[in-house]
Amino acid sequence: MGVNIREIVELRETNLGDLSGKIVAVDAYNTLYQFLSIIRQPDGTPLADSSGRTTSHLSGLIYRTTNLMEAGLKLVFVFDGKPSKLKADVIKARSERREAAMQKWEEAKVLFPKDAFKYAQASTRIDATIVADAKTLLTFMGIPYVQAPSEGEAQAAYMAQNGDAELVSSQDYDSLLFGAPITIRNLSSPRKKAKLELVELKALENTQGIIREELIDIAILVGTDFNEGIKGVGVKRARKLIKKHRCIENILKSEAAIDTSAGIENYRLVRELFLHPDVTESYDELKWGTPDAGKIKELLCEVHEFSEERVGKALEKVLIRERGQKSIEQWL
Amino acid sequence: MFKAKIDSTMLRECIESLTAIVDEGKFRLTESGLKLRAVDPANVAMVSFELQRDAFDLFQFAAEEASSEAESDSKAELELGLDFVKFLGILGIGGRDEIELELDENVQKLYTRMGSLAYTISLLDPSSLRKEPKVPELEFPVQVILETEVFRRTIRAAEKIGDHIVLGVDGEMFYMETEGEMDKLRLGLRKDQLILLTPGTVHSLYSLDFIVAMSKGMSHVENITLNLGKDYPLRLDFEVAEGKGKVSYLLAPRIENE
Repeated sequence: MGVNIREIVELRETNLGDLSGKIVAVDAYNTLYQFLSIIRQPDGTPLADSSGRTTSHLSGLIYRTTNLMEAGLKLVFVFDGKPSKLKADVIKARSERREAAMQKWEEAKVLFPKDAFKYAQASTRIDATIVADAKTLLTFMGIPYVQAPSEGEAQAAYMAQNGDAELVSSQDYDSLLFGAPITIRNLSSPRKKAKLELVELKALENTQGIIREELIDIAILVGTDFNEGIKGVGVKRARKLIKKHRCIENILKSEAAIDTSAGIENYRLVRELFLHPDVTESYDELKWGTPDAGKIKELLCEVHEFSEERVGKALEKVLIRERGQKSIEQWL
Repeated sequence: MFKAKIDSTMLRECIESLTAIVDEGKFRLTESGLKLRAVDPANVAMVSFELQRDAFDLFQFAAEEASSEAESDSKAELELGLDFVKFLGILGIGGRDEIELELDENVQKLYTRMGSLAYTISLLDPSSLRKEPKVPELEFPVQVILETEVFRRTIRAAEKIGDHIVLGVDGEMFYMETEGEMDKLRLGLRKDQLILLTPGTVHSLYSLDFIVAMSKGMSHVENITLNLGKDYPLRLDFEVAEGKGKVSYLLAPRIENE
């Protein structure tokens, strides 16, 4: 998913403690996708209650998110709206891949149990129920969310540019292209030891002299969710081309081997989509509330059969502040 | 370069004092020994730890030569990122032998040997760990020194009753008080029942979760020093490694909002 430009971006490691007090706009779909694909049983079956309703996403939300809240992060989830028309091909391909993976998973469960998990992960999908569940739980947890008109990452990046958030959390690098000043990766990873990486747009400019517009052109050459990219052009080659010519127009003029017929036909549209994505300026003022332990337990423990003890412990960490617990920082 | 030998029971007690607050952290290694300062994920409790070199049976240390001129003023010090919970487990399987430690900075591994057991620990990248916290400047009006066992016993009882505890001094009396939904507990000790007490009138409320964790970090300690104030953090100090190590816990209070 997203653009693979990891090789050229500047990554800086960080840790949870240093993010205390920061407002983080979370790419909700990306995060739910991670929860759903990783939080599974060994044979790849997602967590579910006894009625067969998937609960992997709720498990991720309650346990991982409370860890982040405990560390003092203020999260706002940003949900995808309608996908851009340019994404139609990608969506179709993804859904075919998912179907294929689903079939392979069914086979593998019986024949090659070792591979089952991998196929199961590839069959992950997010449906309306999952989104609705997630929104309900977030509300109970006192975490605000914003509904994006189109791409969630674009909306999150806009909010960061607007100063309403300090970081955008996503596993993709698309948020950079959408103009997020700082993106954080692995924040929502349910794997505890996953390293937190910060990617700063400014750092890329300072160290490599690549500005956002140029990064977008590099991504288009390599391929994005909205265009295929040129076959045989990897991220390093693309960077070389852009460093030499500065933009796709110039490349087309001077490099005979590259023309628009090869996967970058719509480059102007794609560039426009990254530079001026469909976002909304009219989202509610972000407000963080106190988690409602009663409602959370009712939803998770009574309806979905979560362990009362484990949910209680997770909430305890967050609610400790509500009962007057001070932080050492107040005496610094 | 770092190479050391130390009594493994002694080292275990040191690490246990850390895991009371944090699961992982970074030691600062210098010529004079080991140091660490870390806060818990919620910024409620802090541990400061120091172990002198003469607590070790062997202690060899040399900081890496500064690799470039820009770093030439860097201090003679190494950082060692460690998963303490894991380390404690390793010390557990090693038994009571002396433990040998050797650091390989290049591959970020710590080689350990206890008797016939060799265990190579992958170190944690220090940049992935929290920065060392600042220490608040605090002035405590009151100090109490008492036997650890009395304190620990009271905490164990309090834990069964409620989720918070008052520590206070009233005149020449030190007290600990917990009230739950059903029961109530109060321990009062006069000055002559304590090792030391500065008279005063203060009390603060603390979360028992943290105090319980701390009391597990000092199970082999004879005496502890409590530094108290009114609605103020608690500083709890004690010595480890036969007086060659120092541990200091800081705990932010709970303040009841009406």
